[in-house]
Amino acid sequence: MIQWLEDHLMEPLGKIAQNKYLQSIRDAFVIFALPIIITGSIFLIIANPPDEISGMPVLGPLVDAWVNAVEPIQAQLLFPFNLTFGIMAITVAFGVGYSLAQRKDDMDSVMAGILSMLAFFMTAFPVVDIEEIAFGEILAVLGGEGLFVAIILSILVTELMDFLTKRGFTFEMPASVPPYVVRSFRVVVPFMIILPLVWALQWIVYANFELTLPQAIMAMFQPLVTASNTYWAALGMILVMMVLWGMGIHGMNVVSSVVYPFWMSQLAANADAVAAGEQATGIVTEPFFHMFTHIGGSGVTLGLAIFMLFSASIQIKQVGKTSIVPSIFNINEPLIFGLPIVLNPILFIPFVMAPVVVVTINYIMFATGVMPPVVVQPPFTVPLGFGGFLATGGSFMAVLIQVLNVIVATIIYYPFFKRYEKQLVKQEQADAAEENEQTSSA
Amino acid sequence: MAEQSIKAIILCSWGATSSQLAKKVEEAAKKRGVEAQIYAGGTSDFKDKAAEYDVALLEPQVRHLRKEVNRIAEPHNIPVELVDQRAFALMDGDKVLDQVLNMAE
Repeated sequence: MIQWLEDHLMEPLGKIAQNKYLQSIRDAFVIFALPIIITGSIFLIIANPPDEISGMPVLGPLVDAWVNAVEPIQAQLLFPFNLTFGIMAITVAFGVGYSLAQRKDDMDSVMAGILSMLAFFMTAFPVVDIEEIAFGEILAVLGGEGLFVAIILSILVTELMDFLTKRGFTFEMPASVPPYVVRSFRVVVPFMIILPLVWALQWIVYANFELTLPQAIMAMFQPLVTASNTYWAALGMILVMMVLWGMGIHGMNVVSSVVYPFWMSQLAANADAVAAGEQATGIVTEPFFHMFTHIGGSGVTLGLAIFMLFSASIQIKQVGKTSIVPSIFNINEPLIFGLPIVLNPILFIPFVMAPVVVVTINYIMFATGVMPPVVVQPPFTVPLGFGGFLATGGSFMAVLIQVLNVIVATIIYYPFFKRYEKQLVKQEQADAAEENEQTSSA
Repeated sequence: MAEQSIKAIILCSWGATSSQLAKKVEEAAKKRGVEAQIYAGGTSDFKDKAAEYDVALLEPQVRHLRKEVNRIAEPHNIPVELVDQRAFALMDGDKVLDQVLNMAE
């Protein structure tokens, strides 16, 4: 069975997770874009005080004071937000080019990043004369709306740059020339070929359709973005994650490498809507899983980790001790492999069922507006309570729902956990008895 | 090799559990008086500096990345193994250190 899985499942999954394009896209978001949008979203929160607290006894007056303080300078406070979210796609373009070049042999990653960024920038102007447009007018395209073009174009540009360089479209310098001179001359020919190509493409598209490339591509992707925000999409994502984890493969890692661009464009759309004072509609984002579903780690195992500490089984208790601290920070690989949940038919059932139920609760709570939408993506290690509060821009309701999720999941795990525990205890007693017999007969 | 300090890297997907395990292995090494430097990281970190390490270990949840890691490790003659699942679950630095020492021989 395990060997069959290794042969038939690990290979194709390994291929997805190791796909150099998918990896580069994820790195572009996680390494390059995230710090910028986390910084930006802080200003979004400052400019938009959590108004649900307004009526509360102690915090209420504080929030009212906050509202009064930010009101006259709201536009100024939103400037860092608008700029950081507004250039998210530029950052991603650089990140994809850079990360992809790093995965290739003998490529100048920084130059590939810069070229990708420039190429994407060039497609963003809905005019043929650059002086006809104000910078603020294209920020939306350079931000959330440009994500898909930024990704696709950067991959094409980097591949083309690699191709041209390796086919000898470069100035090779004699050995005596200093390395930094060699570096710029090596890429200047690809730059001179690729940038005008992209410019011509943008010109043709705009002249014929009155659309920029990002607008045209976004129109193509819009149905997919919409579909990725449904309950069925969330359910599909969690099912794949949990089934993979059940076999010992990092499910979140594999799934996120495919759907990260969709999560990010939902998040950017939410933040924009909140900044504009409108209703945000994005539900299925990264924090939907990391902050509201995988609490204590993949599979909502926080409650389980606590119960393990008091287990009658020696093995479970021992694993519980090493798992509890990482669990607080939503890391549960030791638990998954030590309990183990991996290839464990008894625990596999609640391991899939609990997150499915929790995803359903979350989806309903977001869709009905019981808790406000996610506007911030905290690092996945932010503990229970803080995570929900941060992600929703300061909602206590989100904290309550996080706690509810853990309780519901723990109730689902409990009977299965007890049954498994009983089985282990029995086995441990049998082993101990056998050992006793051996020592007494010796 | 025995006299020299051993450099090992433990790989996982985000570098979270591997850094915890790396710390445990270093503690175990210190206790036993073994010269060892244990690093942690994701597979992309490994690619950049593969030549620096003597051995590479993969945590069990990323065993589907083994092929890629092997491909990076091969030209540098770095042995690659999976961390023992139980030792990983218990964050057993001693046991993993044994594994590192075995591989480095």
